[in-house]
Amino acid sequence: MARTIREKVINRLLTLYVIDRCRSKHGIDHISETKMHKLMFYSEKKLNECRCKSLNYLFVKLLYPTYSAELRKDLNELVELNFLEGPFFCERRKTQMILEDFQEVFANNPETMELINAEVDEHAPIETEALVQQTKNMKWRNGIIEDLKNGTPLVYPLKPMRARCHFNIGEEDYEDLAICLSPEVSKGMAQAFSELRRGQRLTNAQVFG
Amino acid sequence: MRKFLGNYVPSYAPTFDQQMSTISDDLKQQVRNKIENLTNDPFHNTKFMKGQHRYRRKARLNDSDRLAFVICEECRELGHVQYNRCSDCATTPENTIVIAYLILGHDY
Repeated sequence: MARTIREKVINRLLTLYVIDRCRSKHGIDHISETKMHKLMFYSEKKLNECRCKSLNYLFVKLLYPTYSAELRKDLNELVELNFLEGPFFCERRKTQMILEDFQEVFANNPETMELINAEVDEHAPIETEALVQQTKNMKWRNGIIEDLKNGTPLVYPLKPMRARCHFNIGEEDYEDLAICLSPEVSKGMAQAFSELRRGQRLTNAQVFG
Repeated sequence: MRKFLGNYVPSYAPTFDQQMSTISDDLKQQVRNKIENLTNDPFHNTKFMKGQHRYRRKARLNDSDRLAFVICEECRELGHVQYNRCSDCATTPENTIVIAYLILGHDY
C-alpha cells in the first residue's frame, strides 16, 4: 500500500534526523546511499519489533542487501530540494533549520528517538562494506538474508492496528513540517522570493484591479 | 512594532498573481478578505512558519490553504532582511506587507 502523505513527511523528517545524527554524534559528514539504506532498515526493524509506528518504508532484499525504493526517492528529492548534498549525503543549512525548529517534536517522541538513536549509534560507525556483509549474514527465518530471493520483502510499514504507539506530531507542527518538505511549496516560495529579490513586485491595483 | 495598525499597504510577488488566476472564485474571495484583515493588523492570528521559512509568516485562509507573507517593519526590526533580501527594501515604506505565495493544501 502506498504511503500516506503524513507517513511520507514523517519518513523524510526522520531520514534527515538520521543523517544529522551521523554527523553530530559520529563525525560522518558524508554518508553513502548504501549505508543510509542499512541505517534506516535497522531503525525501522527495531521500531516495528517494539510496535512503534514511526518509519514507514518498505524494504526488500537486493544486492547490498536491503533496499527501499521509497527511501531512494526521498533522498533524491531531498537533494533536489537542497536539503541535502549528494551523491554522498550531507546536510545543508535548510536541514539544520528544520531539525532546530522541530526539536519539540523529537522530544515528544522519546521512545522512537531512543530506538533510532540506539540503532544508528550501533551501526553508523561500521564501515559500509562490513555493514553490508553483516546485514547479508543476518539471520532471517530459517536462513540468512543473503539466501533470500531478490525482491523478498524484509520490513514493511507497521499496520496502525498493530501499533502500540504512533509518531506523535500535533496538527500545527505537522502543517509546518509538510510545508517545509513539500516540493511544490518549496519551489513556489523560492520563485516568489527570487522575484522579490529582483525587485519584481506588483501593487494591489495590478493584482485586484 | 505594530506602528501602522489599520494602515498597512499590501504588495505582491508576481507568482502570487499567477496563482490567483488559477484558483476558484470562493478562494479568491477568501484571499481578498484575508488581505483586508492583514492590512488592518498583520500580526493578528498569524504566525511565523518554521524551518527554512522561519522568516516568513503564514495566515490561515481555510482548513487547508495558507497565505505566506512578510511584514516589512518586522523583517527589518528582527534582522530578517538578510534572509528575505528584497532588492527594493531601501525604498519600500515600513508599512508594507509583502504577499508572497499562496500555500494550497493539496500541495503539501
